[in-house]
Amino acid sequence: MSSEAVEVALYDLGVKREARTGFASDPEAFLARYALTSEEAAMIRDFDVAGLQARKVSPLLTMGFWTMNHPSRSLRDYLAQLRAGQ
Amino acid sequence: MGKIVGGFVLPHEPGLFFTPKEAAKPQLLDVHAAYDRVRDRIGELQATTVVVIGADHYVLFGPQCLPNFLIGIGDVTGPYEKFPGVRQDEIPNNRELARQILQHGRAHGFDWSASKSLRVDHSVGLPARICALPNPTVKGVIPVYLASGVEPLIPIRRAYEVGGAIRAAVEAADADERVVVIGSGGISHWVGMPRMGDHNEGFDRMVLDCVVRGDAEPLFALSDAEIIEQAGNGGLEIRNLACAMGALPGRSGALIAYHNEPDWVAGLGFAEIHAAA
Repeated sequence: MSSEAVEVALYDLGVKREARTGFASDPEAFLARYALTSEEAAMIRDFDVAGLQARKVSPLLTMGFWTMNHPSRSLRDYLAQLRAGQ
Repeated sequence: MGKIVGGFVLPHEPGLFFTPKEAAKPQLLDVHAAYDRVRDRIGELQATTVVVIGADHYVLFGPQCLPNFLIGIGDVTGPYEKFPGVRQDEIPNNRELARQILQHGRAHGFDWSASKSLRVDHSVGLPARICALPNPTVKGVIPVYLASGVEPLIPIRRAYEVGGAIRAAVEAADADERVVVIGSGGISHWVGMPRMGDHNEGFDRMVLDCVVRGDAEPLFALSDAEIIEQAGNGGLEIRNLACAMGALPGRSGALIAYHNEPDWVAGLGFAEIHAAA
């Protein structure tokens, strides 16, 4: 498990428009660009922010990832998902 | 010779600035009044340059490169986030003094990272726009970023020492500068964590008491794990406050305001640090 590779992917998805576009159109192909395990890629694809934080990924990144990429972009939904996964 | 004429600590919660003042509730107006107080005091101090110490929120710097402490020595713009009525274009920098701080520091054990072109976020951009630049005496804002939000973190004592390095460089400058240092950071807040929206007023007031008494030792004694437990990952930003304290070592100050509300993410503390002993 490499939280660094996950953080690179989430950082890109937070700050780079072309990354968000690629992820939205074909998540599997986009995530294949990064040195992620299948488990890590699934957690990102499924917006499993609680699982990502459990693996020591920065909450700054999980929040930015959700609010810039999740269909709802809602902070309220993010917190609900996060708390449900604790 | 330059001199540090004052210091301030203040929060930079972005949510405060999405609501126009005319639509603000009384509690929010009180917060804006505290920012106005800082702005006015900077004018009364006749500051010519303001150094703003902020925290990256894992947006400006990515996992590929995370500076321990960085200074903007060239072009500065921002904040990159859009806030009603807040400009996003150039922030005038005092390039000469910024390079003096960098070079003096590097000659005395402080290996600054540098940015020649920096688009700042709200942690630097809001204090610059709201508190510093409205004063006609202020000719430049120097941005400083500490590793106070993203691991690996700068030790709190080292953040304080960086403040001392800023002071030493200002005092060694040829130019007759009057410099104010702002430590920009919320106190307790759980950013992106399950407890987001919670506050710890006891912790917040302990930190503000340290600032007002000019005593950073209790802050040095806190481990990062203790801070996260008591004040969340956002509480790690007290490094920025410690840095401002280090620029005015041992100086006492005065509380300007403290607020927390359920709708706000952070405990919001404002204080002035007086230059006179």
